Amino acid sequence: MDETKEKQASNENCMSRRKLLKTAGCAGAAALLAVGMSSKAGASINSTYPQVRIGNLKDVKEGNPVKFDYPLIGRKSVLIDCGCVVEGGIGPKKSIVAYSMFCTHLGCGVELDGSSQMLVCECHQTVYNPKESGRVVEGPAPSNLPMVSLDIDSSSGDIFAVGVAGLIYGLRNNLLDGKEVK
Amino acid sequence: MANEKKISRRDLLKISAAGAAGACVLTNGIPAFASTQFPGARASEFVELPPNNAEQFDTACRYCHVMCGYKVFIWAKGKGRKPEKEKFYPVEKMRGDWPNSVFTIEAKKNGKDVNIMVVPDQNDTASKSNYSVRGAYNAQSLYSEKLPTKIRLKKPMIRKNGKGSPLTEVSWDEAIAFCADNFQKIIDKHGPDALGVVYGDWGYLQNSYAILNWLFKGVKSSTLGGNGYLFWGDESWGLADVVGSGTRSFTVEDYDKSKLLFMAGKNMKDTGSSWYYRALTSGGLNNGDMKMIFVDPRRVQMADDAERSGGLFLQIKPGTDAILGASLMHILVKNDMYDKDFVAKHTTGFNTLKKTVLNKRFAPENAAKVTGIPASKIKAAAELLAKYKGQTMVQFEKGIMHQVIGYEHEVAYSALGIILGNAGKPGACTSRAGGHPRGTWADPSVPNKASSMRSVCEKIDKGEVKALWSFITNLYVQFPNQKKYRPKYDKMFLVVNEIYPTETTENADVVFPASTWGEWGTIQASEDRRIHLQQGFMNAPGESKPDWWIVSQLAKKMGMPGFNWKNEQEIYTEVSAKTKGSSTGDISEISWGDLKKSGTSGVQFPKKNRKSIARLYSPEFEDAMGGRFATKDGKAHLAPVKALAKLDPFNHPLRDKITRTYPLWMVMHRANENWNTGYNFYNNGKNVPLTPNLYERISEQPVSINPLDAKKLGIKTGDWVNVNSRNGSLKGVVKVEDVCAPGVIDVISLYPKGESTPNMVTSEKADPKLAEWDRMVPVNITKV
Repeated sequence: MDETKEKQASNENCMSRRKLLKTAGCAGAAALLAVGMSSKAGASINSTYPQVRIGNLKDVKEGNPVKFDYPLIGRKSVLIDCGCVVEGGIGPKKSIVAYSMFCTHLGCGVELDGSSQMLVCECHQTVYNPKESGRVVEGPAPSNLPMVSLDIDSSSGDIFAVGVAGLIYGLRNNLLDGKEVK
Repeated sequence: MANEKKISRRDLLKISAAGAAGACVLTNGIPAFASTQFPGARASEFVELPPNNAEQFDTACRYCHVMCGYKVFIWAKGKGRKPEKEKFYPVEKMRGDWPNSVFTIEAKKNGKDVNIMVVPDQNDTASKSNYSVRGAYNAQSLYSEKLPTKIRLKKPMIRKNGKGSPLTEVSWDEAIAFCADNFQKIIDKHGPDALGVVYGDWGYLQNSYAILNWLFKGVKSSTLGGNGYLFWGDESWGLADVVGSGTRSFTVEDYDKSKLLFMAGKNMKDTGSSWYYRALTSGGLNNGDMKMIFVDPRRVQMADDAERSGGLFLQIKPGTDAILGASLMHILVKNDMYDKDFVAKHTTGFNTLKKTVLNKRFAPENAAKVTGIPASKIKAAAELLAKYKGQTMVQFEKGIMHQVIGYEHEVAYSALGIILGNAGKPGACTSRAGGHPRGTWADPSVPNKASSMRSVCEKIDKGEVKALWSFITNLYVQFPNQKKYRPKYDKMFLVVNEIYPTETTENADVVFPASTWGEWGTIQASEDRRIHLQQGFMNAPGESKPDWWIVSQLAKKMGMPGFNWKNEQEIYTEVSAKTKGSSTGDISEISWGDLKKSGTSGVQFPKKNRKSIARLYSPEFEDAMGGRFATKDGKAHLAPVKALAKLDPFNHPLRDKITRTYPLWMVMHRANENWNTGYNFYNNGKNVPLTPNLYERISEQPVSINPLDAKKLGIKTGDWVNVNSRNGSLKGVVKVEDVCAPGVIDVISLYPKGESTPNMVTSEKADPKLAEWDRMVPVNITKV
């Protein structure tokens, strides 16, 4: 495949490029399953995720991340349009995803790096790939970046946060020890 | 978005429980936005906490020289604390003791199902719970039948009828008797030197002491290949010739205080991560309060950090560090920018140094031609070093040491640090920057001619070694030129102490299953000289035993006196008494009880008159030891710099040459995930990942190549290639990136997969003094 064709293909589907050197995708899952207590223990918590409008399709553009609190006030998350089909992506191009902005290492802030389009921790440089479910590319973080589950109102284009896959740094349960976002 | 599917609550639960994998598998089911919440879509993420009556232990990480402190909690399965009304939550940032789920595993202890949590300790001096990812996986690497670690070796095995017969599980008595008998026959026929040991002193104090006593005092052989601190062939010989010892001289707090890091051949972000994280945050490297000069052939993250801090990245042509060091000294001496008072008071040999470095060939314009670093950058580096003299950590490590001229590189950087007065001051040192946790103290006298890694290879090559004991070393990954030497190892009587089945155990005549970290009270020290007791907290698998116990059984069977230790504490007590008076390693005032009381931080040494000395070569060191440096006269010696006078890095008799057939220099780096031989990362015996989450990050050997070289070779990212040297080939996956300069490629050192491990291409040619073989290898690349 020549360079132009490769570029075109990758613009359409980011996932075609992912199996190069650092293959992954389910690191977080393996970790939690290895412990084997997450789901069982959760049954004792009588909480459900709020469903919150966090923006509209027209607000989310490639290179223009939208920040929002979820599921608790102060728990920053970020909505990103990756511009191409990505794992878990929604929207017309299946390109929109959202993540917690708390690094799973020590809870420092994670921001989208403009040049690499990776989510990078401000303290110790863990690099997470937003195109691959927030998996760790490199750095000290032991687990993937928690991914915010999204949904879209097909008539209005409103985007809703409806859950979080993965435990957010600092919490024992994503809905405890804080005030829920309404 | 008519065709946009809606997430169901069942799917949400599923993905919440399973982490981020495959999130947003959308299905039909829920009326769109009928209520403000999905009923039943529970926040199921939760980590069970140890109950108040959980067993508690102190330990330090089992991997690198930082030795971050960890707490261990063990409690009966299902008896964990419920996560209600915990004052601890929500946890503020920078606390590594927030219990990530990877810190806890399920295992058995004394026949009962338990949870074991290994969690970074906020009270640890070295790390303050600021852990690296391999440390995070300390729990996942423990033995459990529910984890990949279930493949641990559990019973002794021997080839009863010699080579060609199967490895058979036997009792300890039979294995020890078989091994002793074969060893004795070889000694009787060929003499004691025909019996050799290769060992790594990261294998804990008790084990190192036992094996060295067995080899030197029991067998009376001098055939030892390994690295410990007190021995001939020590990797730090160049540093030791200047300051008197190769021991690291700084303390961890210096990474908070230094104004300038000068880091050469040390990828600290991956190899001493917690120290580096400390420099980034509390040291101020992230915001420019601390600056860094980073010297490396590879433009990695540390290079960007150096430039961002207001420092410099010097992308050096591999193998030319001594020339850069001499050129920096040329500028400093010529322009009187060095620390004259310190030199006058604390050094000898300055005139020799001056005469050597003022030679025109070390003028920055000439050094630029050899090192590939622009003269302007060499001058800028000298200015920064002069500006922060007495406030700089001058540090170097294996990138410059594992070469045939490693000695000269060490001397150059050591002298550079000393003439700037960087020794024994807060935030200032001249030192190696790492290594591995120290496990060797007392030095039994050597019976014959001194041995070394280098001479072991020579003896093996000549066929003089008839039996080899691979002791806490994966011989088939760790030693050079595998293609040439594996057939030789296969012919010997090969004995292996191991925790896992490896390529080495597959070819052994005797396999002794070893118990390890967490299974008995192991002793190691960090490279800022904190000695730790890593407490035993769990059962060892099957019939596995501590390595020192195995040595003692064999020694007794062979009729050797002095191996009657009842436990690991007795060995520690014997060793610590023998260190009395050592200026850099005295632990005689540190008892087993002191170590137990020291929590996860350990006790810093040398300790004299009940006081730990934080920095070697400091005024307090001088007061305690009678000299500022560890040399006999107490001075730093600068005369060894004369070794640089005629040094031509690429025309050294031992250095392999770049030719048209082998046009690229292959260098190596260490990846954080792959500690040492990657024994807890990927098992090269069974070919399975042991910590799959880490393995997935680097599931193949990456071959990093500059875009210009890649274009010339017609290769692109993702291609499988062979990297070929005069000695053999390794297989890897191309990664085209602007990291190495044209003409240089890079791979991960000691990557454990058999056909991808770099020692498939290395040569055994070694620095005559450091005895370290060259990790710079001329290669070419061919597509698979």
